[in-house]
Amino acid sequence: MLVIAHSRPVRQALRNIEDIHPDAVRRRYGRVALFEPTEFGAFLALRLRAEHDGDVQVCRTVPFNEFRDVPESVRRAASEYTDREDPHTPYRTFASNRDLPDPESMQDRDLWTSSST
Amino acid sequence: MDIVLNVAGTVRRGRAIDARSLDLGLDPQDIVESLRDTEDDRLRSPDPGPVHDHVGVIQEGMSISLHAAVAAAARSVDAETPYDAEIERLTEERAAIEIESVSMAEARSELADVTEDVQRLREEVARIGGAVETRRSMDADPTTAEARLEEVAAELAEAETRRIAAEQRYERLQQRAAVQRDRRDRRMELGDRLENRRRAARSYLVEHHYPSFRQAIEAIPGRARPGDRPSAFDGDAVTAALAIARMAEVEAPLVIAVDRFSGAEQVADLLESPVMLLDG
Repeated sequence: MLVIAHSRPVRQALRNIEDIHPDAVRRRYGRVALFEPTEFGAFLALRLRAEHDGDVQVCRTVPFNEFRDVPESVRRAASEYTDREDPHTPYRTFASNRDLPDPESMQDRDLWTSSST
Repeated sequence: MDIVLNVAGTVRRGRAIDARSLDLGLDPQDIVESLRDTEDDRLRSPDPGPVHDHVGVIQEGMSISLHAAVAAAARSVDAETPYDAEIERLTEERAAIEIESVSMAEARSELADVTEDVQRLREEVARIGGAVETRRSMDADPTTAEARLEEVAAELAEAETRRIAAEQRYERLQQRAAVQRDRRDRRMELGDRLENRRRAARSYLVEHHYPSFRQAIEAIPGRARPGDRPSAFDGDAVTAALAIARMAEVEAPLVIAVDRFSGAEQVADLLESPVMLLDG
């Protein structure tokens, strides 16, 4: 459970929560915290949101599975470009010579929508 | 503005009020609340200011943040810092950011409900579809099951339409919320910069006004070695607080609940401030 602070008081609240309930907070990076996805974590997150409204953002994170969520062409583009011979070749050039997806069309295509689970 | 204490028929007025032997059942907290609450008529006086946050009540066992108190006292005599223009600018910029609250709970709830409906109906369609198949394969009459299947399929189609609408509504709200989060982040960033400048201003004030504090504390009965900066102060908090009161300019009375003094006039003269004495 990713909790993101969008105000100073919420950022401070995340610090306090980490202090008081260290088992509930897996990691904190400044104004962003990973809560353990337990009912207690949800309890803490919902209380934060009830008190601070839109200054608290709560997201559910899942490990990224590129084989499930990413087209093969994109995976191939990443690995082939990483293995390129000339380190100075920009991706755009590299891609056009190899029938790999170009940056603009990749930017236009969503992997998933923000409401999908 | 005249300072007037009016409790249970007892009235005292002026800049040096001795409420010690009046047996009014008042404690310092009562006075502070009365000062802050304009509708509380027990004590009428000008409003307390930032200095009161530090030395509004002086009593044994108190603690004081000397660095912040010196800065507040300096501000009370209209001291300025090179950071003031920027502090004002940042404060205005921050206040000008308009944040809209985007309420999404209902959209989320609706989305969760309708997704559950779709799931349930899909399962039911599959189940009834299986029943139809079974009946046909057994040469039994599938008519009733087929009719039911048609009904449920129609419900499913309707639920899927509702779900698409709910998703779209959710998406739109998400986009609005994202815009508001950008503004909230901007406000937070300005808040950080503002606090940074305020901290710098306080350090500046302390550097330039600690000598005033050292001078003030010489007049205060009590042992203290002020040193050359707040962190070097060696002495008790009450003595420091009294010196802060003396160097600051306040209009609302300070509550003095220590045993060092004989009369209210003496204290008011020493601190050059309006005071109210209570039992320590």
